[in-house]
Amino acid sequence: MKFPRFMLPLFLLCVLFVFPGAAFADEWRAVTPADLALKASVVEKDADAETIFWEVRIDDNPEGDLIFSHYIRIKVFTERGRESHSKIDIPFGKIFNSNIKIQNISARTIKPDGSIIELKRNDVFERTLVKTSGLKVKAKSFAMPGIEAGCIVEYRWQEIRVGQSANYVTLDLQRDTPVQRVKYLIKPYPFEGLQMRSITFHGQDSTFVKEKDGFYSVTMTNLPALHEEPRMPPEKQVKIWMLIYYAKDEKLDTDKYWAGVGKRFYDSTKSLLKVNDEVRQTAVAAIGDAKTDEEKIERLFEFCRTKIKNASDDASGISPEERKKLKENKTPGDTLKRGIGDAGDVDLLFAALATAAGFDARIAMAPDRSQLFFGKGLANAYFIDPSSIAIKFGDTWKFYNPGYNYIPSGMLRWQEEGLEALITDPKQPVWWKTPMSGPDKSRVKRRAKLKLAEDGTIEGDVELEYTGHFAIERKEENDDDSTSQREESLKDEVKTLLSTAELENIRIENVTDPVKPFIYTYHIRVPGYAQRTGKRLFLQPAFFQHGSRPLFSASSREYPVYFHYPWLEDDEVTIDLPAGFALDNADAPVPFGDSAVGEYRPSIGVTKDGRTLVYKRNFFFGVNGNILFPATVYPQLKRFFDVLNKSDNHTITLRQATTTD
Amino acid sequence: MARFTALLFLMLLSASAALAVGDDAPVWLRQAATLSVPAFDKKVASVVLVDDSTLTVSADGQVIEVSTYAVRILTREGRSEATAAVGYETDTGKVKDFRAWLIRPSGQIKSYGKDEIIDSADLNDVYDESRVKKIVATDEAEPGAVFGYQSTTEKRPFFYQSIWYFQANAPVMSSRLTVVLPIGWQANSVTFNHADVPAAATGTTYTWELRDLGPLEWEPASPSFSNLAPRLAVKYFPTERAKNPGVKPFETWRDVSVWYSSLSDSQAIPDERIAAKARELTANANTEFEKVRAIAQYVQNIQYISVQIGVGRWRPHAASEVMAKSYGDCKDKANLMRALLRSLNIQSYPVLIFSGDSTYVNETWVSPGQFNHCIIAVKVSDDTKGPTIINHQALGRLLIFDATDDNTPLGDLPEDEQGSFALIAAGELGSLVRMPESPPESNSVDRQIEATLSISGDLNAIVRERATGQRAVDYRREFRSLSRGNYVKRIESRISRGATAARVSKVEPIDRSSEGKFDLDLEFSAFAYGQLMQERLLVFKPALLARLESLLLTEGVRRHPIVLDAYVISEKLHLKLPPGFVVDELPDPIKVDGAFGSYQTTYEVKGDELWFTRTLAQKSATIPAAQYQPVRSFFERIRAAEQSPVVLVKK
Repeated sequence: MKFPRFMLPLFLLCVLFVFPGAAFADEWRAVTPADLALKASVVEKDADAETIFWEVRIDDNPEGDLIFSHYIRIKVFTERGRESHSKIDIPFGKIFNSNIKIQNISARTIKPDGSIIELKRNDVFERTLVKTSGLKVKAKSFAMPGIEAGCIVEYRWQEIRVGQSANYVTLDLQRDTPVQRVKYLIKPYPFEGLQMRSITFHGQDSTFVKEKDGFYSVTMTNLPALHEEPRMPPEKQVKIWMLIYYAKDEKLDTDKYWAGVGKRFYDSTKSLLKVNDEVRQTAVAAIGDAKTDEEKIERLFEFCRTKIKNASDDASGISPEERKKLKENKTPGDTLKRGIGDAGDVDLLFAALATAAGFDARIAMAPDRSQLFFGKGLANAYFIDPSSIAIKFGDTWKFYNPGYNYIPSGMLRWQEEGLEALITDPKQPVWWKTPMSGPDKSRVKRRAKLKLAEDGTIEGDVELEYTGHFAIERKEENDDDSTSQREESLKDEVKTLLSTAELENIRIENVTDPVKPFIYTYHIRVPGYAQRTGKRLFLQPAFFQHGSRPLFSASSREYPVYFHYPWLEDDEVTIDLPAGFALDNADAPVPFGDSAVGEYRPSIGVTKDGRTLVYKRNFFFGVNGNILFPATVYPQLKRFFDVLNKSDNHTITLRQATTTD
Repeated sequence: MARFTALLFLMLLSASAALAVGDDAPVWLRQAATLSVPAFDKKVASVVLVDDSTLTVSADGQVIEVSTYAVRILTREGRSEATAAVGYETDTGKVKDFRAWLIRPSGQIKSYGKDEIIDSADLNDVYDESRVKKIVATDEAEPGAVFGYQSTTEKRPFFYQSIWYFQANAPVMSSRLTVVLPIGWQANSVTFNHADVPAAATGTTYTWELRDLGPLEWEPASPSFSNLAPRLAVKYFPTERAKNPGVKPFETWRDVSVWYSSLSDSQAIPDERIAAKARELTANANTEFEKVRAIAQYVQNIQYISVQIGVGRWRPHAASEVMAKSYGDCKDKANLMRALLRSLNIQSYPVLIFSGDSTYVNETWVSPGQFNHCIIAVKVSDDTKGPTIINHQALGRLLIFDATDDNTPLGDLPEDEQGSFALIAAGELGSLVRMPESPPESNSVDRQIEATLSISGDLNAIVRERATGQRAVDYRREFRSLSRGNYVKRIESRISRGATAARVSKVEPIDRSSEGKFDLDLEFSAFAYGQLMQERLLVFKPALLARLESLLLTEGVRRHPIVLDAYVISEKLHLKLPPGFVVDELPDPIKVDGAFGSYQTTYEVKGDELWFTRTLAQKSATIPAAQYQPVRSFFERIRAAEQSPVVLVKK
């Protein structure tokens, strides 16, 4: 359930227009001999370039425009640095109902010997990047003249966001190069009774200092470049940034603030949960003979899933054009009457039906951990959105999201799991933690019944069954594809691990089913699966992990490791051995891990007749919501997954029984 | 011609009339939608019903192109084909009319016009006159729908030539190009990747058509699409009687040479700054080659930036301007290098080539439109030697060099340019020549590994890799494109593929660019690399690094030829065996020879060491699809050999 947030367009603009920027001045500032002589980054070893300073002067001016004056100076150390700073594009134009203008561009290159090459005015090109109805994105583009390793490049320009305010503007404090000094100067709009406030994320203390002409400044120094690592937390969770907004000049009591937010939201959305006679009758009919509260809610959940067409669902068969023509449902009664609505309508209808059935049902507001890890100590409603419906059972609240089609009842999207959610209320809104699903909720169950030939070819039948978040991901990946494309995608996926695999009789089940597990079944043949030497066959029993690589290969880590959700893998593989071959000094990989975080439990055995190998593997990870690991424990985590990979690559040796040597 | 013009007029009229009544499709599209199509494989996502373009050339050289296109969407993936695109140049042309329609399976029609057009620029260049208008109906198109569009563009081209692709990947029912010329003009054509498609000519109206073309499916290691899809190159020009002085017909490659020399020579005149720079750069150079190399390295290090305005798409910026700004595109770089060399009295010529596919340029179609890149040929004396020197009949010994590829040094040529036809623009003396090709052994990787295996299977390895030629370019490109930290991570990842949990203690790259070489020294350890079984057997794979794990050529049948590059990879491993263990079983050594390459492994126990070697020598080749099975089998055998383990047993 997503309601539009009033600041969204502005927020998007801020994201779009965080280009290398920083404060306007009529004059270039003097270049120091130290800057000219600089041979390597002060902030970060081995950097290709470094921002010496980055200044942005922001004037939230009473005329109604928001004016950014940027000035940036960069030292280039290497050819890579030259390459990445040689061309500058500054976008502007009419985007998302906003209008941005660019003016006063100037740039220059300062050679290591101190000589200066100015950018000529006619070397700045204005071009229209994209133009369509209601949208015209343009750019001023130029190449830095005479750029080479060892030089300094600097440029400045003014950006005018027509008719906009600095309320909820995000300011980036890190760049793709390390920064020696970044300074933002802001002249706030003179709102009566409101003051400019800021929140800094993941950075140094950022107290604003009063400057002349009504500006306030904040400065940070020695900021490393932002890097990318596999399985890192969301960018906003690791980078240093700042949020600017206007609020009343008063000391904020966090609890009171949230109570106010919860009450106001409850009041403003009351009509969206309105129960009329039809809703009441429908609730009674849908509940039928259900006895317990849980059963009743399940029936209502099921009703919303099956009886209301969800226009937000890719698999609904509704074209975008039809979607555009849908009438707005102003009440749950409208949704019920029309039998169709978007994800938000479905959620609200569910809440109304539950209310009609005598339950206490509320809209729950929560952050999104795919964007930022938010805590309620940060008193600002900017970070939370309506996300699910909370139903009270005794003293407990449970959360439901029937509007998102592939979420089973009792689970939430992973982005909303394990978070504090604000349950709206006319009197006393409360924070309640949404449950984090355990590993068993997101399970992949894999079964293979295979036969190994003497030449190393393996062949047989396979079934894979996905539940929980695994199933949601598979359904989302496949629900918009044709049957043929789904099969091709499966073949491609299998071939990334087993390049010689040939798949037949593919069946893919429950792709668009909201509840049932996502299932693949197929017949597979893999020539050259086992290696044959003169008298032996070498066989990897972990069929589903054959060809997989260790999860982490880098020896060092800068940011925490983040898994989206806990999961469980449950494999069973039987392999009929070729006639004349028997196990040769076979042993099994060793179990490891613990039940507090994750555990690997393998077993290898043979049937009584010695002809069939039975391999079982059970692996789970993320117990108790342990899905975020600080960089300091990376070596242990890497080791854990290295051992897992080695164990999965465990090989069994088969020896030809007739061989006598 | 009069008949055709009338037909065209009626067609346009019918389109306009249809549009006048709102969401109705033109007659040609409604007719196309009724065409029955054969049953295709279920993977075929769409079928082109009509792809028709008519170019009408007026006596003053203006060209009006009217295109009609209809595609039936067969599967959900085919929805992406419901996209119309028309390219144009802002300085020499404009799109006069552009509309599209979607006929749904229900028969309902949606029309698209001005409000739906997206006009976009190439985001990579600083400025480029080339733009494209698009109409995208992918969200609305559903299987069974027919999407069609019609466009009218007006242009005044640099050359009176057209390339017509009869198909993209999808099957095509009908693809047709018509050229309507003024009286006194004529056209001729060359067909690529298909038997000759002759024109049906009526007066000065020429039509080329192909029907019922099957789908073009992607296969790994295929020739590029431009060398698979049937393609037509058409040239149209006034005959002698009505010659238009503004229209160059390019009858011979010499004509192209003369034309390009006239555009570029005047831009390569050195001024005093250029001459001074050349003197400075070559102050310590003793030989002709060293002088050229010093200039080449300087030009290679100039930033590649493209500013494409007007004739600037063909004519380089003045050398003095490029040197002052220190940036330019390929022709700017080649041109600056010419000016620098000229100031040293070394003659050189621009060379027009196609970058990206060495088989693209066809000598039978005389046209500058076949080229997308510019390199340089430097006239050298007999004292200068090297694999990229050619003997030109009129110009003598020429050293070929690409100043844009900053990873390929003087004396080598990028792989995708080797063996390609290229035009040496030297006025009346210029001609189309074949670029030099380096043999496989010039592009090699030699790997020497000294390793020890402990009784628990732990591995310690010292690796020395020595790369030359284009393989050195691969190493260099990777090294130069990544920061030190990311480069180390890349190497760690590569080693981990063969040896899980490897701890890399040394990564020492040495870029010997001027020699065309790259050295990489590595040291790593990996616990339990060998698998100990019941404390008795120790099993490990002797191909420690860059083992062939997965195969590209796995399908049972092959439709397209297979393209292979030339290189040699050789490896020698000396592995000290763990004390107390002896070799129980070694994989059989193999030796595979094919017309396209050879592969060999050897195993030998020398005292307490295992010596293992493997060598893959691959030739540059385009192998017909009929010979697919031997190629597939060749790589399957390599993979099997590199996966094979050695078994040690406790004494």
